[in-house]
Amino acid sequence: MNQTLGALEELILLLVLRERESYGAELVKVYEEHTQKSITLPAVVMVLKRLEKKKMLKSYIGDPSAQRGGRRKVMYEATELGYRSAEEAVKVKTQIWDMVPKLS
Amino acid sequence: MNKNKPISPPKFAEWLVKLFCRKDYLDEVLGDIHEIYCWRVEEGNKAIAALRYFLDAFSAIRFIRIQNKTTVKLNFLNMISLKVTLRTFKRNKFQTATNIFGLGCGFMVFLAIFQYVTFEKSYDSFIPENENLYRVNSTLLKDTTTVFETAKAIPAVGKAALELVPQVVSYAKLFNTSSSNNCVISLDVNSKNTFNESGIMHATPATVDLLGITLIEGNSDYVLDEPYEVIISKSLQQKYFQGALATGRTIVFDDDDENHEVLTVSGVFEDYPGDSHLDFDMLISFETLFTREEKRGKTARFRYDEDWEGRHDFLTYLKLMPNTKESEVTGILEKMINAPIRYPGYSYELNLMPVTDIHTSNAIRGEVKATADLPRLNILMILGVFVLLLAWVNFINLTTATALGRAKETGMRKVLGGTRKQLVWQFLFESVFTGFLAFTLGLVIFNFAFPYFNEFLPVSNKWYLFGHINFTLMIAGIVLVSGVVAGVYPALVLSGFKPVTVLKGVFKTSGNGLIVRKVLVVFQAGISVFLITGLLAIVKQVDFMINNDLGMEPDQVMVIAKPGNLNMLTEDKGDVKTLFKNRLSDKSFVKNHAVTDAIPGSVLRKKRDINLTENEENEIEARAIYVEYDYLKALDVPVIAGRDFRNTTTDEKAVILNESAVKALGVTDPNELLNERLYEGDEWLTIIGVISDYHHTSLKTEVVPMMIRTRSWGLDYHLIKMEGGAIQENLQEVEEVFASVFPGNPFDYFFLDDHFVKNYEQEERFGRSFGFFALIAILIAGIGLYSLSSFITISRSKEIGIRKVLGAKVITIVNHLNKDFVILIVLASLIATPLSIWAVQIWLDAFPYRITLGVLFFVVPGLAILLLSLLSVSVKTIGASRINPVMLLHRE
Repeated sequence: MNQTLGALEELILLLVLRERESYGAELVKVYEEHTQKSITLPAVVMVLKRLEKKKMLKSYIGDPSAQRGGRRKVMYEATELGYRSAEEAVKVKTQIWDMVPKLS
Repeated sequence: MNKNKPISPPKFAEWLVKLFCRKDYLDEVLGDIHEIYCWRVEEGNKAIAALRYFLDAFSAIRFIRIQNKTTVKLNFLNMISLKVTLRTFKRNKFQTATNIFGLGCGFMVFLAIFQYVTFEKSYDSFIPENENLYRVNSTLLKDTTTVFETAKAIPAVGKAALELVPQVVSYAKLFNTSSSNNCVISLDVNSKNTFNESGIMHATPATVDLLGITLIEGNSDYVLDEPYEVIISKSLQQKYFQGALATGRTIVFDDDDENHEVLTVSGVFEDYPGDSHLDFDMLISFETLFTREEKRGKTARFRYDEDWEGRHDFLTYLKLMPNTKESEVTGILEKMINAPIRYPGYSYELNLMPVTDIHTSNAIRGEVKATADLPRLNILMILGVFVLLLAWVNFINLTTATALGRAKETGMRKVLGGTRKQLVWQFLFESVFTGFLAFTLGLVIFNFAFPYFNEFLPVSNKWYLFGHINFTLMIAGIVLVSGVVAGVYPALVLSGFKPVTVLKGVFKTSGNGLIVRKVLVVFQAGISVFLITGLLAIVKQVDFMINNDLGMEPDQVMVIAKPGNLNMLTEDKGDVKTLFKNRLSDKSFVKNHAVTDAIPGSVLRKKRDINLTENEENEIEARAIYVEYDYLKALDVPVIAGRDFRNTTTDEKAVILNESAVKALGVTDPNELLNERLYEGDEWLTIIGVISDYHHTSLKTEVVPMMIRTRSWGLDYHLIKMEGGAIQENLQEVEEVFASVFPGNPFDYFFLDDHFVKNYEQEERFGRSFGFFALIAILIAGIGLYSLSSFITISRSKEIGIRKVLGAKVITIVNHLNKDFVILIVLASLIATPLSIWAVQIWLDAFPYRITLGVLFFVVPGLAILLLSLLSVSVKTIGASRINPVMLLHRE
């Protein structure tokens, strides 16, 4: 597991894992719900493509729908590697956080 | 809102996405954006949704990085083929190598010189907030003429400036202790560890912050604010304590004014940078001065800090608020200084000099280091540019020449569908690439030659230039531009040829190109002639100065400075000097022993007005030196009239003049002056002798009128004339005597002839750097001529073949081929010789004693270049004319 995960990459990966499978628009929505921050779609898509290149996600082409102006959507799903990477990243952070002296 | 009504997002945004996004992502991205738009609209405001949609669309610009190449074209990248470039290099191995080597040498020289000149011109820019830091220079005016200008100010200026002028933020004051006294540092009171130090100053606490001194040990907030505190440089820490923690250790300070102070080290600083107008390695707290004894009813604090009539002894720096006018500061202070002046007509003027300007300004009194020699810097810079130009001319020449040889290749490429644009880019790329390679080579050579360069062009840091982004960019620009210009001719001309004509072989070098190349050859040869003339002049002049008769004999004279520590003398302090002299006079190898206040080879400082009458109008200015007897004997200065001093008491009111002084007094026969009275300052003296002129300072300045008087006090230097022979043993004996008479002082000495030669160090260095660079320039010119001649012989090979077939001898052909070059070189010499003689004469005019430019200078440089070029041209032409003509003609 030599590949590193950026902060946004990690978050998006976690969101995909939580949704089991997801696609760009949905992830934007979920992201904004969880973080109270807004994000542009291309930013999310970029991350998805990068994660896919790192073999942490895999994708398949879904059905077209009217809401999408008749366009197909691409669904993403985490791979085993993705799962492990996310687990590792979170674990490391939790471990360190546990060692941080707590305020008051 | 009606859910079933299809919502369509703004068309323009959609177009934006289409523009930016790579095709295979387009569907997905557009779909997603659409969907997000839909639920934003459902959530509420349509306007906001539209806005966000635009944001998303714009943000899709990031896909540009991974989109298809077809969308945005970086066209020229497609036009370049590295492979073709490398193949060309391989085929023209020799040309490429000379090209890169020549240009590389040019870059190296340019880098070295440019770096040095920039370094010299950006002194003191390391000081933080240097734009607000000024030094107070003082000028004494008599009516409106300047009497003197000095870098130092009187005691009260610094403190008063801070108190009286609101624009002054803080001030620093330095007392250059070791320039006015001999100072000795001992590590403990009884130790033998003593050192003569010459970089000691007394400094106020604010100095550390103002002058950007970096402390390694100690705290800059409160260092130097107590008496008896001292901070030392890292090198001194190494020298004294072998690098061990220095804070808290004590050292003992002694000077020849009999100050004896025990100092505590409270800090260590990084060695003060070499590119500063200041030079010190030990700063003692200014408060220490205040503890000194009361003198003539004035406390030390008054003498060093509050006196408005004191001496100009203090380097004073003021930090001002931004945009302060100079007059706002100096006005108030000048009023205070001029108040006590009682002589009518005299007044002081203060000037604030920005610290960064100090090194490049004219030399004035009291400067700690010699200021930059601007004409020399400019000559060097011109030289650097010339060498680069030479190399560059070569580069253009060669690139053009090799490119013409590629006419067939170009035609072929065109036939196979290469566009003109493609060819232009290819040629440009190749020349820029060559330029880049050459620059890399230049850097590599520079890297290895740096220790050598640093000897005559000293710079603090090897990659000094690359620490400044502007310079780096400039150099990159030069590399790029020189590459582009060299490539422009082949790129535009070659690519314009019609392939049919080229491939048929009916291709000739255009007349224009030939003229251009001839002009370039003349230019190169001219510069070479100029450089050789300059080199010749510098070498001859330095040689002349070193070997010329000084009018006295400085060989075998050893100089020992008066010891600084007089507190540990065992004998009576009164006359240790005589004691030392007496003990040494027993030694057989001591021929003469003189004591003087001015060593020959250094600048004469004491000015006196002398006069044969009391009438002020006949007054002349002379420089005075004070000696004991034996001075003239020790230096073999001939007395041409009258006699030498007998001793210090009977000749107390006697004076000896030199010939120049006699002349300046308006007398022709020196004997007339003997036993005449001479008025000096406020006393009458008797002239007892006249000596012939000798060079006291160096051959760089004229002999000035001099007067010599005798006295037994205030004499700092022992001059010991020794027999030749066992120098080492003699030195040891002198050292033993020195140690017995002056315990607690280190034994430092030097020889007078070395001291004289030091005066010409700068010229010698200049000569060495000039010589080295000129050599490279000539080498480059040689390479240029050689490769050019090889090109010409190749393009005329058919002609050579035909001539041989028709019965020409080798020598005739060689002569025929060389004739063109010879004409060019002779032309170049004719143009360049007068110009360079003129330039050299300007340089020489600065020396009062100089060589005359003989026939040598008119003939040698031109001949040398002619010979060199004949040599480099003939190698190729002889080779070409010896070939069997069949080889040259069979190609048809």
